[in-house]
Amino acid sequence: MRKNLTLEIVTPQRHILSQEVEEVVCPGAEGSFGVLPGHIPMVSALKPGMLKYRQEEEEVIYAIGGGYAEIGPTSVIVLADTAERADEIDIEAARREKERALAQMKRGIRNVEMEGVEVSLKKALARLSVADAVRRRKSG
Amino acid sequence: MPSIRQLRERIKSVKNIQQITRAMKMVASARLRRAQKQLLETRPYAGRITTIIEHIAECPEEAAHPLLSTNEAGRSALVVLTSDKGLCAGFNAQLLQKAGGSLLAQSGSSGIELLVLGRKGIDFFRRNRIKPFREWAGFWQELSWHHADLVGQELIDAYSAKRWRQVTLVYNQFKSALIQEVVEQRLLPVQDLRGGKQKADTLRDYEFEPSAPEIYALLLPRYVKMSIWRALLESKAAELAARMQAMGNATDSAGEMIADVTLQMNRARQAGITREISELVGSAEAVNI
Repeated sequence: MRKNLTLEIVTPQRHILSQEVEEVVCPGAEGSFGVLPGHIPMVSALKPGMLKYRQEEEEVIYAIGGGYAEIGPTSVIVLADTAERADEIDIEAARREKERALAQMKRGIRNVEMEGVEVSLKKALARLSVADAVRRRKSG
Repeated sequence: MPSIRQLRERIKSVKNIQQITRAMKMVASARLRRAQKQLLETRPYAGRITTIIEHIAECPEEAAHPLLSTNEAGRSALVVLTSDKGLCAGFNAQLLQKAGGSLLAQSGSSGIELLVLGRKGIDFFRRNRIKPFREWAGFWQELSWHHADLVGQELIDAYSAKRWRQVTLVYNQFKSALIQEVVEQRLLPVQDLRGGKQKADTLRDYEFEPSAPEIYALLLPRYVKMSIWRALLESKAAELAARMQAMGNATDSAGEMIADVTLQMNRARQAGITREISELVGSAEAVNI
């Protein structure tokens, strides 16, 4: 039998997931990377984006809002700022959030706030792209 | 001996107090449930981030960050978490006693700077003519991550500027709805997180992406803020639990008092009736003779 990874996702608000999986794909700060059992120990920053895991031919997608991942040979621990499963995403809310962030950017604001707005824009975009990917797969 | 009317007044006022304490108990228990839920949901994240930092801090050659290194000079900082409101039994008193103890223990060496959260703590130190370095109050009702961020940033900035040798948190930990425990937690420098217990057997060599310093720069401040956030939530839950208990006890003693005074009143009334009868009988006999 093949060894599995233990994937754990936690956010400051709650414990999202703890599960045995075969493969994880994380949105690393310097590009997406895949993790299989036996990976070398690593700590990586994550950017807002799509986190996928596979378990027995079933692929599940989460939208995460940035954070960190600690990767070991048998475990992946994701400390995410936010995390939602693809089918839990509120598309309308994400779209509104995107519009709001874009509008704020256009208006031009102080640098300090710019960072926050950028982050919320990226989070909204990540949610939308995840929702989109899932929808495409279902129809296609 | 108080008159029957006085006793009646007394029963009424105790009943009113009982009503208030009972209501306060209910409010505290409802709020406690919410605070407890929030706390329990935060614990896994706090636990995980601690594990990661622990692992990282065990790679000494990588560990170079202002928050990891010990400052030789400077004073110690003591962060004291008290409540804004009273009526929660020994919640603040025990905590301040402990804080006062470490204050005395260390005042001989290089001194301590106090950072006080909560109205009760601020009042306490003012009464004792001690001027805290920083004070925050009036935020417990709408406690949010923002507060942890604010306090954390201030600590990080001051520590990085080598103002302090170490930073210690003193707060009430929520053990259960019946038990709160005052704990002292060393927050900065970030090291020796297991409190001198054995190190992990597997010293892992970590790869860092993007790079170790960048990860530290992001992860350590987050860890500090997370620790404060957790302490705030622990303290809030503990405060509500303490208040619930105190108000429960108050309601019980009010009940006892009502029973006592009612008995007294009945006795007084009965004594009055007996006296009147004996007076009647006495005067009737006097007439008969």
